[in-house]
Amino acid sequence: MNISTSKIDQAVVMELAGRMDVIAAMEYEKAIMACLQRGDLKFVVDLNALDYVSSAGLRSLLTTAKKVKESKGMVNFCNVKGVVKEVFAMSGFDTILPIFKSVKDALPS
Amino acid sequence: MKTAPSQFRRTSLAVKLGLMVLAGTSVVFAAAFLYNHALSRRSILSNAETNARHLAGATVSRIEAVLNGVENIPCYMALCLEQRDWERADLIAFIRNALVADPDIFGSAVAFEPYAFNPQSLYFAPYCCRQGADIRQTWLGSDQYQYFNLDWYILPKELNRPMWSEPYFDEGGGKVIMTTYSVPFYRMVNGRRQFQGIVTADIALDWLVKIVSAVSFLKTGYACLISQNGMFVTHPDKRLIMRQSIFDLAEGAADAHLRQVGQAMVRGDTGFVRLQSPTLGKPSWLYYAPLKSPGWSLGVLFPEDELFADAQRMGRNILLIGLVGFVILFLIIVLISAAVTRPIRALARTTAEIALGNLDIKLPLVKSRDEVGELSYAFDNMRVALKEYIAGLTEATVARERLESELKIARTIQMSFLPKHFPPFPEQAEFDLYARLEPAKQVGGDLYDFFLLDDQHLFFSIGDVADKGVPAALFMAVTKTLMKGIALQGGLDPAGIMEHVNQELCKENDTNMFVTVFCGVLNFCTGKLVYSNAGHNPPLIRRAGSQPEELPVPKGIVLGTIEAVRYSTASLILHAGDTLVLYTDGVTEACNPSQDLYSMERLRETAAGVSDQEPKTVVDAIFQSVNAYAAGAPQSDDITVLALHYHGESSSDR
Repeated sequence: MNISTSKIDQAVVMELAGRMDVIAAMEYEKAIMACLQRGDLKFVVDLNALDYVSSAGLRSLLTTAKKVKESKGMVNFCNVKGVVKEVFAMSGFDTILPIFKSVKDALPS
Repeated sequence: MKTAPSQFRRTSLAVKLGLMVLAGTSVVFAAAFLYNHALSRRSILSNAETNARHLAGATVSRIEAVLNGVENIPCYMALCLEQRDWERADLIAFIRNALVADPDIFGSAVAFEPYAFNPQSLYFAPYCCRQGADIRQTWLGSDQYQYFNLDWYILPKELNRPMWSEPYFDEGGGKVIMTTYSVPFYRMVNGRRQFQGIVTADIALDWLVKIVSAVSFLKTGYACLISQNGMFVTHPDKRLIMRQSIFDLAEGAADAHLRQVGQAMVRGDTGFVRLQSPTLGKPSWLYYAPLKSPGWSLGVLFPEDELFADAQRMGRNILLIGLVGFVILFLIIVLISAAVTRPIRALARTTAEIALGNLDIKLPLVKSRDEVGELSYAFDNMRVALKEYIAGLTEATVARERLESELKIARTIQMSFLPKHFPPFPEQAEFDLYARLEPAKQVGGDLYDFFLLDDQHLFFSIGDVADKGVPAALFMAVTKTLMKGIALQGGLDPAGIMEHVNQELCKENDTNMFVTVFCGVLNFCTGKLVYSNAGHNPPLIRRAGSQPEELPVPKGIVLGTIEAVRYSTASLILHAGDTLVLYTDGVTEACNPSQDLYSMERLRETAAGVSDQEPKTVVDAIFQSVNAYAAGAPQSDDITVLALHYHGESSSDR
């Protein structure tokens, strides 16, 4: 999996591309935690180019979302589609994670 | 264990070093030798030139001393003839006295111009010459011998100076080589000097031959004399004398260089040249110098090989000494380097021991503070480091083995919790059930379960913990235990069971671990199935005679994430011949070597392709298909399939 990070206003926009397996999940967790330690609190995770997410990937999405919330921050997801959307729907993650249509929508107002 | 390859020993360091030093020394020696050789050649050549010059000079002086002595007589006679008129008898006596005065003179004549002595006489030329011990007097001049037309007469007359004639072979006299010195004499007539005639003195050249023949140089070197015309006057080869000139030799040998040398000699030059001698037949050196008064040239010729014979012998000796020296030097170097490399060899033997695993061996003590000492010290450090490294490695291996044993434990926990006796309920003819779980190497945390709630109801479930290893196995065990405990309490539908289990799992779940679960309760008497789903893959249902399709499941969040979540229960009626296939994502997400997923479509096709609806057949067919697809690629997740076939109530009568 490839993670590209950019910043729009106050929010960190993370673009995940490829397959999110156990190892990729750990990378993603590290990336979020590093930003959190630098003081970033607002995240937008763009799943447009994500082809697959494993249960470990789901777990890391959940874990990091909880960690950011504990720090009074927020993680918004956007462009959830295809297999990823199916997995989100199946696991019920689409009901517990804030999901938006596009990066623009997901950016905090 | 490996031993040092034998080709490493073929040339020892000592021999190699010896050869290298020898090669270097050889180059220096060869350069010095060649330089010395060239220098000594030059010096030898220069010495030879000096010697040849001295020799030729001395010889020339000796010859010229005689010739000058001879020249004095006719000059004196010419002077006397000019002083007064002479009587015929006086003149003859005068000539005779000259022969008496100088024993070198063979003969002498006073030849007058025609009619000069006697107006009636065309010829007047008295001539005295030796005959044995006596002196004989004759007259020159006849119609056959008109002396005033001959070279010895005309040339001095025309040139107005005394001169030596070209040597000639005297047939009439003593059969010896002769040469004649002619001096013109004059008389004052009306205040003008008028030519009167020529006074001559003949000398035999046998003494000259003796003098020149006596000259020798080196072994076969010799001297020779050539005349103004290049004719050999003296030469060790008697056949050449007065018969051949140096130009004849050059012509015969087609040697342009020799001709040039001949021309230089005739010109009266002095020189030292290398040439191919036709007489010696090998490369030779020639020193030549002129005899001024007769215009002859003396050459000293000697072969080159004789000149350098000493130098060559000396060179051979030096080479021989050098060779012996090299052998001795080589032996010395070999001995020294053998001594130097002895500790290295000992070291090599010891390291071979170390390579065999004996890390406690003592390295041979090298006291020297040189590179060998350093090497020995470094080797000992390496041995110690190696020992520590191996100890560390052993520890790491133990740790890894412990980890692996933990994984084994996890697998054991996981597998020990699963019901493994098939068929599980042989007395229940209404349904058949088969399940199979293949743990991944890391152990994924899949689970399945089934048990009878009472004599009509079968509870069955499948689940997948989102983690690996021991934690996943433990979480799976907890989930399964909770589920069984809560389900067996009775009074709850599947959604209620899910809610209770979720509640329990969410308590103190710091790790955010979660589990997806599908569970159902089948009334196998009526065929009514109630079920609930918590984020798990929807099972496939294959109605008798139809294609398998996804079971519509109510939406529900995975267990263990959010407390107090509501789950829903759905229901349907199973008919005889219907089959349910439950699976985990280890099936649909099994990867082949190029990381492509097995996918839902393949699963559906495989399930459709199984004609026999016996659960074991269906499950085995799916596993076979997945394994074939994976083609040996290691799977990261557990693979679990549970199949339930409903025979229907009527079949209990079978």
